Amino acid sequence: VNHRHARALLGDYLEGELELTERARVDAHLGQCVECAQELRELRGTVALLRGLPDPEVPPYLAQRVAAHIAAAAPSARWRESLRRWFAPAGATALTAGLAGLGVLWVQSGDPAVRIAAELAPTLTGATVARAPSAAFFRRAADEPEARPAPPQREFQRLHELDRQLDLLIANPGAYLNRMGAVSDQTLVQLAERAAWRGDADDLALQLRSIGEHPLAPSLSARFLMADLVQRVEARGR
Amino acid sequence: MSYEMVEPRSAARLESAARPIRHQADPDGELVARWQAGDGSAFEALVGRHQLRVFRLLLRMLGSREEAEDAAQDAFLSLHRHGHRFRRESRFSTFVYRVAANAALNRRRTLGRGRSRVEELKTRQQIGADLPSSPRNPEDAAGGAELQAHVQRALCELPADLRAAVVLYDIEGQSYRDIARILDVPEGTVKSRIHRARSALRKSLRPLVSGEPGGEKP
Repeated sequence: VNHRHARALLGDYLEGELELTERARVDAHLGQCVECAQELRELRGTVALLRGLPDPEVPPYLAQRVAAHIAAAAPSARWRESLRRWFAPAGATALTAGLAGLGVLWVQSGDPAVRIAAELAPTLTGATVARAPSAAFFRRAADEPEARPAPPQREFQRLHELDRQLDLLIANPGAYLNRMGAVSDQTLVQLAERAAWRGDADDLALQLRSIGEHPLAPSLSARFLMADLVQRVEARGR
Repeated sequence: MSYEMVEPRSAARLESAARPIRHQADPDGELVARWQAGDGSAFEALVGRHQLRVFRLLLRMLGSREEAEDAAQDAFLSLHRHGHRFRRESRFSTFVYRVAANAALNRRRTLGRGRSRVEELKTRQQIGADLPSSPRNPEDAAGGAELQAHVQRALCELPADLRAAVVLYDIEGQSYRDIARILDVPEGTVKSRIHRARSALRKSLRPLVSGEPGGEKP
């Protein structure tokens, strides 16, 4: 091998990746070429320096901080409160008025979610709201242990499961709805909150809207939309 | 409270179908299966298991403990968020490295301070400000904070893609094949990046590694 070729092979030589004959040729060249021998020495030294770097000490609270962030990722209590405020006084008319108001507010923005919100208002007040949680449900929910923070592990499990459900839903809304059994309102609220927190709620509402022939689709769509709107209102407040 | 809305048999499926191929090969398989079945403590155990790898990679990629710590936290949160998409086509540790490498590369992009720092380093190097007073035997590399800092600075001068490849190979001890998966590039690209990175490092570390022939390993 000539000098140029041998130099190009030094990396593989160092890693022991050359076939025997080629290796022998490079060896022969190294015996004659001071420059290549020096380069190989320097490469070895470089690798030794890299591999000699000691393991750093892991920051002592890294794992705890990660766990704390995961626990804190749950939608805030304040957030939940506003969701309740939206639903709780909701005689059907108040809800319609609210939605229509929001629609007027945002319809100029060209945001499709908002336009659909306006369209959806009648659906909500008709068939869906009948099944939507009542004020009594929310009073009950407020008194229930939900208000107490869940232990971090269970909270993690809960969010993980919600994420998994949302991913399944996003992947194939039609199939998801078909397999979806009886779901409590509380679970739906949690799904919607989580979706809004992830920023997926408006897309989901649109997707579900597009498969509207399924009996559950409009109600679920409305739920996601509501969560998304609540979050926008919250964001404006900040 | 139960969330078995869909796929009530998922846990059973994890046990039976996904297991045979990868499970034995992957030391994390058991924990990953538990986590994916909804066991939160399994994720905590996985964090404990992988935090050194993740932090070491990020420290060598980013060059500062503070940044590495933030990025490690981002990486684990991202892992938590996307981990259920892990399909066991590779070892879990490869998946973790992938998430961590992305956290480092994203961070670099966001911070956008690579260039000015490189310029500063070049200047310092030209005036020899960083060099130890006399070249040392590379075998002593583990000693000397000064020496380590010098190697770290040389790493930080590399373009991020070369740095990622060489750190994964020489420091993390990953195979070409796994690095190809981690960085999502062909194996040939991985090899060439490693060689280019070493060659650049050789130049910037020359004062430290051009010792007498006696100092080298066979």
